[in-house]
Amino acid sequence: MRYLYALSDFSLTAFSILVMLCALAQPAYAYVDPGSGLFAFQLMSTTIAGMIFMLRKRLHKLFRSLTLHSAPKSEKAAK
Amino acid sequence: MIGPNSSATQGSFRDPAGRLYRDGDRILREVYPNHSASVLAWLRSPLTQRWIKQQRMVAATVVASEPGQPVLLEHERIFFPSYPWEWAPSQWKQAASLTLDLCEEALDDGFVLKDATPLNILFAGHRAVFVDVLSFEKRDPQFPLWNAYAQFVRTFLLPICAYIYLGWPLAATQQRRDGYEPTDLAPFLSLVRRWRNPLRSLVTIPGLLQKKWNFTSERANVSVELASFAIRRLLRSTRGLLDSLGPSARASRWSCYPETANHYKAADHDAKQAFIRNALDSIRPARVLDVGANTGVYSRIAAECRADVVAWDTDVQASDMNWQAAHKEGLPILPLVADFARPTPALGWQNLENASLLERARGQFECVLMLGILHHLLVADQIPLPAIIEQLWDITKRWAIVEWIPQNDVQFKELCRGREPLYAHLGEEYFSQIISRRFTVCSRAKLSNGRSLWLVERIG
Repeated sequence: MRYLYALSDFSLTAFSILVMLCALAQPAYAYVDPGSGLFAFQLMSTTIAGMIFMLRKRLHKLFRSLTLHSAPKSEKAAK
Repeated sequence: MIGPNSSATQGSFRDPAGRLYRDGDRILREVYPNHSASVLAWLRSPLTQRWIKQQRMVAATVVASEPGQPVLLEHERIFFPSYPWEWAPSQWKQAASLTLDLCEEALDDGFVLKDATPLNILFAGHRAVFVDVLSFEKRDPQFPLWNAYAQFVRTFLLPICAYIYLGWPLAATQQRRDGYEPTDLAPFLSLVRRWRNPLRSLVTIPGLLQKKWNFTSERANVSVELASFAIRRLLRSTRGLLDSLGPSARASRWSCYPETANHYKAADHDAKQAFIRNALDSIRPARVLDVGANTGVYSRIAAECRADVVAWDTDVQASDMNWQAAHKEGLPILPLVADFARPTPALGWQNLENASLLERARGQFECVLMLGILHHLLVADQIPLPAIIEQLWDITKRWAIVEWIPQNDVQFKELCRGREPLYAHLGEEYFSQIISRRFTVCSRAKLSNGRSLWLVERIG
């Protein structure tokens, strides 16, 4: 159940990154043509980068929590 | 400081932050008051100072800086400005690589490259130098996109793709200031090639998205960590796409010429090289133009005689080989794909944005080499000898070393292809008579293959 919750949480984060990136626009001070297809491609790549970033962060968190849980056990075993 | 003799270089009028001026031999840049503080901070940053020291960015000195007034910078002048449409493929890749390197390094110091076009780069000899100091700005740490990405792809990667995969000449970019759109290339690519990288990422997917997406809404931000991760990942993948383009080496008509020139015996080669080396040693020119340089055998001799060399040749592959050799050996040679008979014209708005090849060359070279090129100009380009000599006189400041090729030469005959009677008057005596109108003959040598070498000095 906990993993299902983590998965839905991750999907929701990825989706919100995509929605947020879709809302990005060219700032007024940039005078170069941002392109349309190439700009969309960059948004897509950035969304994927966002998802990888979130996944890495969550995996890092998971490993950390697993290490924390396994640490007391090993201490008990040592005693 | 910008006086009545200063002329704004037309190519700089698009930049909202400033403008470039030429004042005689000086290159000045005016930075508008609303950008002055940020540009000065950027120029004084350790990062910019490091790049200038490494000769990757052009040096800039602050000449005037009054509060509320435009800042005036003076740039180190780079000898012989060149344009991307005169570069060989390896020079394009070098310029693209420098652009990505600087953009990546700037991120560490909180800056970003706001425009990424080959026009930001000049070549000082074989070395690419970033010259547009106004192209960097403070980066919004929460903004995950690189605004200049599309421009980098359009103006660097797609022209290289078009050259490699479609054989479109890089010189054609003189008609495409803002490069190619993915949809320009897509119809000419096979289905298989289109779905393979790098074209999948540069042409196919952006081309499909171009029809579907339109972005007009407000700007939004993400976390600093995520923004930095995303932009660095984008730059890494762009670097991967650039690295996957090439090598572009293919043999051309002239790229193997020095090895296959069987009308030259080894002794003639040696005698020719010895004459040129002795001539250059005796006149010691600071700047040499090598017209019809091919792979740069004689450009290298000039460079070894401590001259800064600009080497023109019409053959892209030969120029590419010349640049690669100069780059590898660190020689002060700038090879350009340029044609003496059809020089690059002035281009852009009002024909004032980019100077013509001859305008840039006039009065710049103490010595001009014209070796093994005269018969091409006479026969293939059908330019009369007096006109060629007049042009040579116009370009050189003082000296010229010219190789005369007689009508019975194998190469001359091959170019004539049955039109020998048209060129029957082109004897060595006629050449001597024409060249003597504008030059004094200082020394000459006859080779055993009938060709002759002439060191001449300009009259007047």
